[in-house]
Amino acid sequence: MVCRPEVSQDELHPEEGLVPPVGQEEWLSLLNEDGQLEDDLTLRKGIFFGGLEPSMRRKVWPFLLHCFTFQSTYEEREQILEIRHQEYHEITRRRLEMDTEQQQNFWRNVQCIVEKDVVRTDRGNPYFAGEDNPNIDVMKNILLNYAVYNPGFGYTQGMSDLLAPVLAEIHGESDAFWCFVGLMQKAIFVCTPTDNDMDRNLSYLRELIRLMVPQFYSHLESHDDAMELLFCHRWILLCFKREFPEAEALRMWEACWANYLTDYFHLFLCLAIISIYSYDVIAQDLRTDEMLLHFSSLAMFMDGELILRKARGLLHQFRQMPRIPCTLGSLCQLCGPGMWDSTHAPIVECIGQHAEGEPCPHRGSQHQ
Amino acid sequence: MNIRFFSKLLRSDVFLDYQLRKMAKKTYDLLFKLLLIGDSGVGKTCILFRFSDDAFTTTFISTIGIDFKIKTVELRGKKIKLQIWDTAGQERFHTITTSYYRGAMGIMLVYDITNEKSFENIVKWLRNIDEHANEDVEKMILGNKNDMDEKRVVSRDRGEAIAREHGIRFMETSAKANINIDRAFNELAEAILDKTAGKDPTEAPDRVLVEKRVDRGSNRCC
Repeated sequence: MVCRPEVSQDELHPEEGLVPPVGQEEWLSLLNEDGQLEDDLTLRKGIFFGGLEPSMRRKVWPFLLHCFTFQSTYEEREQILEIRHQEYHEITRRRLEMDTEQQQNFWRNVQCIVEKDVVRTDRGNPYFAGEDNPNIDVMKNILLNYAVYNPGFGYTQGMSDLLAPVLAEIHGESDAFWCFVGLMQKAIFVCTPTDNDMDRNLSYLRELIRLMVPQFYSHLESHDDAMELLFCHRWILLCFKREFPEAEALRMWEACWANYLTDYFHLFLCLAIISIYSYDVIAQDLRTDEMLLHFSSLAMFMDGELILRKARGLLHQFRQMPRIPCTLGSLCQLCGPGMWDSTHAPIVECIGQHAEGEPCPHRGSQHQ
Repeated sequence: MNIRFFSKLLRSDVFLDYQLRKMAKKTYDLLFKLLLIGDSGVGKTCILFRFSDDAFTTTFISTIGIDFKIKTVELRGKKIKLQIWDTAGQERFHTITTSYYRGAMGIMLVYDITNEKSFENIVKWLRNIDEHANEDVEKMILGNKNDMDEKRVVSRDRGEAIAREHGIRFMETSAKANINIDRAFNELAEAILDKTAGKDPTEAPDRVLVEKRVDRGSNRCC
């Protein structure tokens, strides 16, 4: 039996389809005469629901990626760009002036992997296509400079995948570098060499599955190692870039960057994929490795727009819950105001996953 | 007609095909789980792709996390399903590493004959195997890209020497020119088959048939 994926009306966010995409006109109407964006919530909401018109990416991404604050004026942005250009120049200079030993270390730890990866990143994108494409060198320089700028982090495979679309939209080397710096602060794998960031995301996701896709949770419980959720590591690391065609993946990136209602929208996207495409997994009782195969075979065959709609619906559903477990308490602590309606704040309930007598680390209230 | 519509249609057809394939009956006698490890860019994914799909393209992308492919081969009248795990050369997460080493029955260690460092790191990969894999795992060292002789920096002798030193099988391969790829996988699979059969001939099928569904709650499963 083939199950054609669909999402019914009552699963959708009530504002679904009501918010138009953000284009040139909407963008300009949000700026005051000094170029400040006084009402960034409207912008972020527009991007979250309606999306950003591709022609606007170059203008708007630097805001979403924290290169500019929404309150900055035209004049301040000019100055910021100028300072950033100089800073970038300085980073490049530092890289080129390393002594022999530093150079050898840098080559061994960073450069040799970067060189291998840039030539196999997004070569299908016209911006990087063809032999001797100079943009590949630009990509390489940015990644090398990032490793100089953030030596504790260096280079991790996957970073070239995240940089490529940014560079292809932003163009300028220095401007793309600073957008990338902002992106890396948002990306999960910025926290290396420890696994903490990934672990935290996976434990949130496990809890969200338990709460919102309980049949799938029971399935995971009945198979060895299934709780490690191996099949969604790549989704999270590359923010769905390898799972969807670029246009849809970038819609997802922007919806995440909008930070509207949550800082963890990527987890709701994971949850949406699971709830839409796990029917077969449960029906055929797929084991852990078969699940990995199932979801990786779905890459590029899933309906991204449908996933986005479903994810927004799930987020809405989550926000409506009267009580949430303390294990998900930080989902609302971190993202600041806007996550919960002023009229509704859920009770954070301690579910007691800590040593007896210890206070709840998530500050949930005891419900006994 | 609208291109978007066509692409949707195409996608759902491929999806349907995938569904049907998945529903197909399991038709194999044994399942062997294999693992490819080695530095980034030595050609692990290309080797796997050549073996599973008999194809090669130079526009490969880096492997993030873990992936696997399946190919069924026939050895000594037995249908053997090879589940081959492809890994990222730059190791990232401990959970991933331990999950894929665990339960591997054969491991291919790959280096690039045009890259000295990838060869030197074979020792590091061997250590990883000692730490994470089963003690009796079958190993094989592959020196890949041997179609690029003009760029060679690691001689075949050096490859053979390190393999001899550790008592491991060795082969030079080329995923691009399709040299020794099938042979390597077949040889590794045969070695596992020998070991399985040699140890306990009567029990062997059950021992390796981890894949066969056993009713939950039954005690037959080890």
